[in-house]
Amino acid sequence: MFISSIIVKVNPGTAKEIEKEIKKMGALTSYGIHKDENIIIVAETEKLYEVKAICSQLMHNYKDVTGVFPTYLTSDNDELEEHMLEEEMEAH
Amino acid sequence: MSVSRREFLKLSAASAAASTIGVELLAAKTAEASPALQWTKSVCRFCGVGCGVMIGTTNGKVTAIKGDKLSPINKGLLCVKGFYLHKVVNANNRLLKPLVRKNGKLEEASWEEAMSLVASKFKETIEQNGKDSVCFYGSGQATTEETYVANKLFKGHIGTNNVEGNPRLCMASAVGGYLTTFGADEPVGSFDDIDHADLFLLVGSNTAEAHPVVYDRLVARKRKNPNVKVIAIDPRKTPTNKIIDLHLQVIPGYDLSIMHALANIVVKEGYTDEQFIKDSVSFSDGKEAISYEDYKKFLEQFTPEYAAEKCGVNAEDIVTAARWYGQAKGVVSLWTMGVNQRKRGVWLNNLMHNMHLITGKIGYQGADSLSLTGQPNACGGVREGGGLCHLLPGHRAVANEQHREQIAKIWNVPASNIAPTPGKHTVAMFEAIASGEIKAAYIMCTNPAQSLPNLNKYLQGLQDCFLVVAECFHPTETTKMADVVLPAAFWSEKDGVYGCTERRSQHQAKVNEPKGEARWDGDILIDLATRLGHGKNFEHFQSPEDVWNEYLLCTKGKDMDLTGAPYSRLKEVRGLRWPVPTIDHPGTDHRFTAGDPLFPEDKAAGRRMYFYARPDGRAVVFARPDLGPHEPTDDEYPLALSTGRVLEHWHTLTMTGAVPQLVRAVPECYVEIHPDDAARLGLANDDVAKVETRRGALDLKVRVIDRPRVGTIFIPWHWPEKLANVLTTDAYDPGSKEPEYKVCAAKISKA
Repeated sequence: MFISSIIVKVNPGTAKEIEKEIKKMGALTSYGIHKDENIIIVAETEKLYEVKAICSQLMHNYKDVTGVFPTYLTSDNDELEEHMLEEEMEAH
Repeated sequence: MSVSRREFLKLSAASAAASTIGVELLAAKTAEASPALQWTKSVCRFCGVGCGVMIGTTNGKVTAIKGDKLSPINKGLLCVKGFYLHKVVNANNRLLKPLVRKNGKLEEASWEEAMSLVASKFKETIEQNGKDSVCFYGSGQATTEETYVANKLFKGHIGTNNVEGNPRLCMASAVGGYLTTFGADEPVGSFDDIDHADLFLLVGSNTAEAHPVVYDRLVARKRKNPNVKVIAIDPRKTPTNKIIDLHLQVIPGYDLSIMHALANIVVKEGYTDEQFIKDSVSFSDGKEAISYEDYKKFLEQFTPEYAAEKCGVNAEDIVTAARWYGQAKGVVSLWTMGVNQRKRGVWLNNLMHNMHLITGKIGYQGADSLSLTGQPNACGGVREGGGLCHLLPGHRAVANEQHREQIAKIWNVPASNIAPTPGKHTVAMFEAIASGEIKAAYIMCTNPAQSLPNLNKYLQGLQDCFLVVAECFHPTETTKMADVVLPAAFWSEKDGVYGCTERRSQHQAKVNEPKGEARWDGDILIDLATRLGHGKNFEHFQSPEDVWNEYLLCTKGKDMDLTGAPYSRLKEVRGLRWPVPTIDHPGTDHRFTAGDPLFPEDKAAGRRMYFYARPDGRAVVFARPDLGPHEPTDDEYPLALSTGRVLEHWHTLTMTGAVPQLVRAVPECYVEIHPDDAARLGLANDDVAKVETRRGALDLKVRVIDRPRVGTIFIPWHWPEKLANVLTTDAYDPGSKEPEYKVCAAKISKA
């Protein structure tokens, strides 16, 4: 299980509404709206790529979301094991 | 109150995020602050922005990652690409042992067997067919030290200039633009200018997805000053449109006319900086010098109406864009592949610079012409390190006798070892591989069997030649074809230096040992050098730092002087922007102006900018013809095809299985088409369509969406199973030799 925190940046005045939407998504916990209306959320996912999909969804589906930045990643295993070679290969 | 381990980790993660934005979320001790977790400063390996990354290790294993709050570039933020960095370190598909092809199959082998085979094959090829029968193809992801060792071996000791790197495919046109306009490669300003600009001109750049951290700085700037405007010139709508005030959604391939039209209006309506032009600008038609008056006459043909018709946009919008540009105090232009991967990429780069020069909006806070780069060390290793066929380290050219002598001295070889003519550029190199002229190739840290344009033309040649691939992973499309695959250390397993978009060199830290038998790429190349009989000049390289120290000698006194940036300093600071000529120099914000340590006050004689890399100190404004794409649309192939990246494309087909309820299914490779075109052609969402060009065909799922403009289609290029590059053209810019990936003619029909 991967645990990641994500900062969601939004247009002024829209944070509460977007936080509501985020809460509906499940597997995401909001840690509130903070300075400059940054929303802090934590995602718990079985696969890392799901974090990417969450980020993508937030960025594409909400016009008032101006940025989605994962900031910290850890795992409830001792080591961050990952088996998705393909993603790195694509970086080439 | 006790919490479960899961809750504890969640609190830790949230706390780290809060800390990034300067908020104390939790008083409790968190995992992030655990004494067992050691944090080491490093730099992201993905794009050219150069974000600072902190790597968390526990007992020598990478266990966490976060953005570096102290990084002046990303201030703690990471995009999703950087966020993924750690995983590949521990991926179980890492290549752990050398592989050698035996009876048609790649089999595990010892390093001795693999290297002995590589050395003997290279020796034999050179002896039988000459030194130019071998080549090296590197990467903007390799460290500067790795590229330096390769350059020294191939150009200085083997004696071939057949040394290239994948930045040829993504930013060579930017190099050509900077060189021809300013006399020296790389930008005048830096990312800091974004924080002070009043207008942003984005051309061919989906900044929100390709460079999210830069995009965030644009958003922050716009929020701070609501009068800040963003103009985009791009054939496609993207998430970047969220902040765009004026979008000129052009027909792909014709935007040179728009740039000239903008200049024409700026001149006509009096937005030029006449004093700056008088002091610091000259004019050329590309063949010879022309006068300012000649340039003005040249511009007259580029009326807004002319450009509007050519590009399929409104003339009024062009006028508005020009006025905004002219009225802004500071303009930052940003561009990426949409400008560079073009048959006229260098010219379009010139025209971007033209606007800054005729308005004088360059060389001060908030004004710059800034090419965004796609790889973390294309600027550092390949552009500065000289990892292309015509270059030598330290912004030198192989064709320059003095440069060859200077580098030969540092390499301890006769100057005659370095050939005076450029080797084969990337397309020519793979053509030579395809024709059998090049018989042995060493490929490091890149995947040309997927990334070359017009792929079908080159794949058989790669199969046929003796192919050595040094890689961290297997299989890739290229390792599948290799005769020898050498396992290379990845990112956190090696020290090195990366040089990013804004001239900033940063130290990449080694925090864990290479997996399996993997070795640092520089070490592998030194091994090869020794086996080829050149060990004497490489034996002092006991570490990447030794290589860096020799490389610094190549930069001393050059426009990109890094003498003041040894490892000891780079390990402490968040990078340094060259020129940084002494150990106490803070680095340079803007080149060619006061504050640049190389700025010649005497020659400048009171002028605000003196472009000292040009003989007359003047940057050049070019009157370039507004030629269109190499392959315009026609009756047979009526649609313009563009390829590129999308955020989703980092997902692969193997991961589209069980997607949790909270996320949408990850799309497989697809073709985007405008609803009007789809309706006309009878295509609907999820239909399978055949996309054809003169070079190949692909069956792809249709995505009907109003992102591309009418008459264009877009395909993300990353799926190995659907190689978009079988469709693209390998026609290239005659100056930069960069292929025109971004435009070709296509047709589409229901499969």
